[in-house]
Amino acid sequence: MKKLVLFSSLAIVALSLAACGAAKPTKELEDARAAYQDASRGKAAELAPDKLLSAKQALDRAEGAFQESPGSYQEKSLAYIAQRMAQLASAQAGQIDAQKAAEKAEEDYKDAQDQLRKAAQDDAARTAAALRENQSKLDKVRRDLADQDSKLGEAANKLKAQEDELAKKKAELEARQKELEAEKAARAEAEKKLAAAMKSLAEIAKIKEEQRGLVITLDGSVLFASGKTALLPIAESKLETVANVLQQQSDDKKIVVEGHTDSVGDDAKNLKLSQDRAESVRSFLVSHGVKADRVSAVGKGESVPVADNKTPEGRANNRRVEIVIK
Amino acid sequence: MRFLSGCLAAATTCLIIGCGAAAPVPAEQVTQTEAAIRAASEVGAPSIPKAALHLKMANDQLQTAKGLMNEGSNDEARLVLDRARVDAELAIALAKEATLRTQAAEALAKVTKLRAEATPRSTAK
Repeated sequence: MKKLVLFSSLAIVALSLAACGAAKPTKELEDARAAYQDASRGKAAELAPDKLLSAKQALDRAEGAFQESPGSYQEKSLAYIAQRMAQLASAQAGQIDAQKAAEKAEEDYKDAQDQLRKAAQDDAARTAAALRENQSKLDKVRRDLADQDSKLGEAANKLKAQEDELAKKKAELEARQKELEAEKAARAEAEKKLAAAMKSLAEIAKIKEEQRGLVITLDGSVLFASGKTALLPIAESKLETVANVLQQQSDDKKIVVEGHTDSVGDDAKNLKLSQDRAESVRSFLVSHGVKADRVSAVGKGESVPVADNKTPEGRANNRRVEIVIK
Repeated sequence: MRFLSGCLAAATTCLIIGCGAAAPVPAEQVTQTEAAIRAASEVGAPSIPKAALHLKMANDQLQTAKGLMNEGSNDEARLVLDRARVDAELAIALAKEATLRTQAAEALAKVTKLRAEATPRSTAK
């Protein structure tokens, strides 16, 4: 009887405890609820819905046990299981999450590698393009240099040719100058000789510049004996001087030897005499170096007097030989 | 009186363990729990603190269950085995999660490192 009472009182205590426990779940159930809340608020709903559903069902069972017999071993045990299942759902979601993160990271890695590779390729392409551009620039510079070289070569050749030409002209000029100097010297020498000859001539003959040319007048009495055509010995030295002068003069000047008489005697005889005498003088001159084709002889007789034939002096003046240099 | 009290005790027991007068040995559950514990060890649970904790719980409860089974309390053992198994499975899930998170972090670090290597090259020029 005592035992029954004890048991009954225990049952009452248990019941009252259970009534009280309806308001206060076990720690296990609270943990299970919290774990489930964690899981359902986390990624489990999205990533591990079946596990989350299992956890929910386990929690429902624990809640049911709590309703039926609060604080019971059953409640605790089911809550324990429900809590682990909620944690399992979270862990499962975590696995998938981590896997996804890893996959994404691997993709990112591949993308980054691709980008790197592409960047390297772009770099290489740019480098190659730059290299090609440089090469073509270099080629152009080389061509330009070659052009310049050949132009320089041409210019140098031209310059050389011009220098040669110049040197040749200079040499020609110098030669010409020497010639001219030689000519000048020769001419000066000739003029000097001529002047000397003229000077000696002037001592023995009258020299006069006339319209018909240079007239050298020789006195008839020093050349010929009266009425003769042969030259006196004294005449020859004088005529040598004349020949000397004539030789000094240029070849193109014609020389005319004119014989003149006074008016004494027969005209025809005088003409013949003057002619012969002129011829004698011409022959002498030719034999003394004067070219034959330059010199001619003509007799003028008494036709060209230069003085009065009435006086002895006048007649002496009219007897003469004139050498006209034209 | 003795009979009545015995009856009540039996009823109470029934209420607690949820029936099963001649409960069979939960051999299959033991096998499954042991398999789960082995699997947890294989996926590296012992070296991951949170997983290791649940693995220990699983092991402890497996031992408890085996003790209960020796005493013939098979139903109670079954309940303890349920808990042991769910702990073992949680240990597996936590170990896998940790491993995967480590791998993800490594992959991320690799990406970060690659990008860091790439950056100076692109800016250097």
